[in-house]
Amino acid sequence: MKQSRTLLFASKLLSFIKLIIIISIFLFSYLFIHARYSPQSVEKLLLTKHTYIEFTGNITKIPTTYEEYKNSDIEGIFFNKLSGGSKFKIWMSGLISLTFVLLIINQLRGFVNISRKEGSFFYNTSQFFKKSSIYCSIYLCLSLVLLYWRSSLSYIYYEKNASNNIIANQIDLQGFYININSYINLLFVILFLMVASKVFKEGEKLKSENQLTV
Amino acid sequence: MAIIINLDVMLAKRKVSLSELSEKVNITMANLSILKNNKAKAIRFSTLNSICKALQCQPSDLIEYEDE
Repeated sequence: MKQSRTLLFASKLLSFIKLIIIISIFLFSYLFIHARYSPQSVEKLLLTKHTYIEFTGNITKIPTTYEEYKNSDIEGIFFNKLSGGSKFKIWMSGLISLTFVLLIINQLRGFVNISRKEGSFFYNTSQFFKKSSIYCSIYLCLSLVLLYWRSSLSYIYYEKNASNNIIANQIDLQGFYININSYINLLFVILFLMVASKVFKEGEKLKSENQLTV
Repeated sequence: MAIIINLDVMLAKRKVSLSELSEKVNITMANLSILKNNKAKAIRFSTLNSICKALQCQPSDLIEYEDE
């Protein structure tokens, strides 16, 4: 009874997390579409060194030229000043990350639901761990591509010169902060899921043998 | 599997139905069907003992090894 209640709670919690992620995907996409058509509304949107997006309220003056930006003590890059391609890279990397988290949460939810329904942890459950480990592995490979992507963001400042022509200052933000720990953690998660998959597969086998013992 | 259960042969020889055997040995029809259809992965000594007693036979009459 207690186990069933715990599993019910876990199922509800995972459903809630799933809903939050779906909403986040929509909000994330909305932010980028909104920024495309209404750039002035996101002029204080700053990307920190960890490429997390944050609104800044303490910046009194937003640098209008590249020289001003370079001389300011602002840590991060203004979203509006990124090139279209860079914005797309950030949008895609965010979307891919959230999608994979959603897929893994879905698998965990499936595992909890089937365990609750069957009253056993060893009924066709190893596939959920196997699928999760495959998703994590794909995500790890994609993360490396995204890492390369994010390390080559372009920062553009349009400035008018004497003859009123628009010139662009473009820099590649090479050496952008890379958090290696998260990739190592992901590797451990993959290993854990693979081991769990094998353990649950063995459990399924023993359960089937036990059921077919007369 | 190389181990074959000849329960159906013994039932026919003793002219006993599966339901009658089920009542005699106190094992469900579903479990006896698993045994009869060679789907079982293992058999308990207690089950074998009950079936041998009910059908008046030896374990070797019920279980046979066939080279694959």
